[in-house]
Amino acid sequence: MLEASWLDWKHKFWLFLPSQLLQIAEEAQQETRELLTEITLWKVVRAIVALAIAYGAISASDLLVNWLSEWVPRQFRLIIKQSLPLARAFILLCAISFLLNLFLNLSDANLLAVTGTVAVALGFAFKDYVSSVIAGFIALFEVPYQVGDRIAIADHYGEVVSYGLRSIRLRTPSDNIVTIPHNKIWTDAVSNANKGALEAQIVTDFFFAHNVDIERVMRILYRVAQTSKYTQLKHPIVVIMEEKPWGTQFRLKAYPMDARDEFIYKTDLIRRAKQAFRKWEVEYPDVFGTWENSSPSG
Amino acid sequence: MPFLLNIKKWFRRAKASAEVQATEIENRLRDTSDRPPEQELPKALMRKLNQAIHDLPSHPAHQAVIQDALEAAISHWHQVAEAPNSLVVLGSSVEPLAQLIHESLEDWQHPNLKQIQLLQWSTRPPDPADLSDRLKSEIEHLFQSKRQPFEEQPSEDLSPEELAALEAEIPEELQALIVIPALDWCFLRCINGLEGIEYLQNLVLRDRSQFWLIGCNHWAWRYLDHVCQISAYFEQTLSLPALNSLELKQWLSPVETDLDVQSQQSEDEPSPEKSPDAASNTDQDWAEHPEDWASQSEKQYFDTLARYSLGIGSVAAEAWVRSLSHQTPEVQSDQADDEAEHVSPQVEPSGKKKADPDAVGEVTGQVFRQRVLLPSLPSLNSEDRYILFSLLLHGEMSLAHLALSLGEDESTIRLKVQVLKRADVIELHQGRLKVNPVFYPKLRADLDGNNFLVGAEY
Repeated sequence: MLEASWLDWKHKFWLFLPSQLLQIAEEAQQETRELLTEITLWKVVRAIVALAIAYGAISASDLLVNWLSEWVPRQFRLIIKQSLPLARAFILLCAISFLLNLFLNLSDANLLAVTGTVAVALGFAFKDYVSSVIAGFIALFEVPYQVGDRIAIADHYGEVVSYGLRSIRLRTPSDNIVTIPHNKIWTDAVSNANKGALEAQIVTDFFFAHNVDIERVMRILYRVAQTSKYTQLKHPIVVIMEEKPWGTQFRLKAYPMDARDEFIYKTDLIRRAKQAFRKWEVEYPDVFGTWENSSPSG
Repeated sequence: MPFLLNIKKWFRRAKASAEVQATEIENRLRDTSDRPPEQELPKALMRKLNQAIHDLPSHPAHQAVIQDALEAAISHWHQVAEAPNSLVVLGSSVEPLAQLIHESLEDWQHPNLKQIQLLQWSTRPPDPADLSDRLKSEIEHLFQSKRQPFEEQPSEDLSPEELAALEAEIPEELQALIVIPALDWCFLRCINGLEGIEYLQNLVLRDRSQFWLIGCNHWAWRYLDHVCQISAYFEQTLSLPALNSLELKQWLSPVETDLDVQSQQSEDEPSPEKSPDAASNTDQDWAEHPEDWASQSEKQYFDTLARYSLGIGSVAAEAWVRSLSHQTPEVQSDQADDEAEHVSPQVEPSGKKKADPDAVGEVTGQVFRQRVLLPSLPSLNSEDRYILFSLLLHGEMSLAHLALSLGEDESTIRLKVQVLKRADVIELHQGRLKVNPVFYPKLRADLDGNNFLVGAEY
């Protein structure tokens, strides 16, 4: 008796399950049809055209901004370059809105279903990408760097030449392009030399013997900076000193008119300073002699 | 906010530049088929014009301003013990300031001064390392000639108390005016080139028995102020005012009269300037002082000249020469005739004049004033800008000095200088390089927009 009822119950269950599953599947299919609009060939064509236009607009805005920034006087160059990320963001937003509107019925319920599902599915796969995109968006307001800034981040130093959705590109002094994702700002410090300004302070180190004529050296260094064709005299020129065991370090801090001339400016300062030091027979530190004198065998 | 001010300045300049280009296009499109075609000036006429411009005296308005300011400053110095004992006259980099100061003092006297001692230099000494020593010896020579009875040792060896006592012994009539016509001759932007300025600063503070009159261009003054804080030592400055249209007309009138320069005919006159301010000012001034002008078109011409030249005489003179055209009595059907030589309106470099057999004799035809046009700057890179800035800073200089001021070899910059000379931006005058004045307004705007430390005259 008992066995018969168990068999009967089992039979009913296996009959019931497929019909329930079938009913659930039909309901889900119906929901999906309501979420997605009817996908026609014309819609697909429109979507492709929209993507093509968005791509073209982004390329055109890149070219226009870069050309315009090099054409206008130097003091407006960075301002124009810094408008590029905003233009790109606007174009992408328009394109994505158009596509969503084209293919989806964005009712409240559908929107909730779509975002929930997509977020879970893509969240794990694009975790770092999204982190970079969000960091880039935050950086537009926090502004740790802008296009045209000379920054040091992680082990890289250079001029920010491009500000993308996910990353920035640095041109290093050796003319390499380094791509750095925005999410580096969550964990790494960003050292910015000019922060949107045309000028950036350049520090040039000189080393002399302990018994050097300090007044003469400082005077020469001030004059070297004041008479350089690259120097921006609207910013202060400072010489500071520091004692080392083997000699005296002088640090000349000055600003060139254009931060791009950083290394050629430094070369100009050093070249002209060394000419003056040679003329006045200024003594350099005897590093090896100091080491020999301080070694245990000596 | 400085950012908004910069944007405003840039738009103003862009507007002026657009106006110039619009008038150029208008000029080209105007139909002149009903009268003989205009030609550029013949070489003989161009030479005559350039010589006449070169021989023009400095403007009487500027001379009067300097004389009045000097008189007031010296009187104040005599009356008040702590009054400044110097006056610095600031002018444009392309103005011949030394000539202006010389001419201002030619017939000038002051009852409290019996001597005027001028620094007898016409240019910067060749060796910049020698510059401060030569300046010292020159100034000592001026003092020597003034203080013969009292001189036992150079004043720089005296303590301040001894110097004050010596000054008290000097009769008032031996108080002199020491004139340095161009301060830019006394320095060069290189490591050893600023010692002359430091010497002058110390001397002026220490020795108050003389009055100093110094001429300097705005660019050099601003540079020296940043580097040596020169305005702390020379407190009194006088900026030469911009020349207005009437003053320019009066200044150029001897040359215009000599050549019988005419305005364009009334039906061919260009329309009044589009700028509402210019039009209303022109109309108002014309209505108030019609006797100063031969015609309203003449007034419009000189108003434009004054505006484009920024009120600087040398710029206005060059722009005026470039606005002239020449009409011969006969109609010439082929304007591209090989015999009609193309005349380049620039000062010919010394030693390069060609013999021109066709240039001898009187120039026939009529000379007309056309629309004022400033030539466009050629495309400049950063190295060109450094060269031009250095020339504007120092007024004029030799190639060797230019190389020193840039910290480069002569061979490196010679090619770039040649390119700029071919583009007419740089002139060579008596072995010294200088910026062609007609490019000054646009060049100043360009350098200002590229973050250079330009003169603070505006």
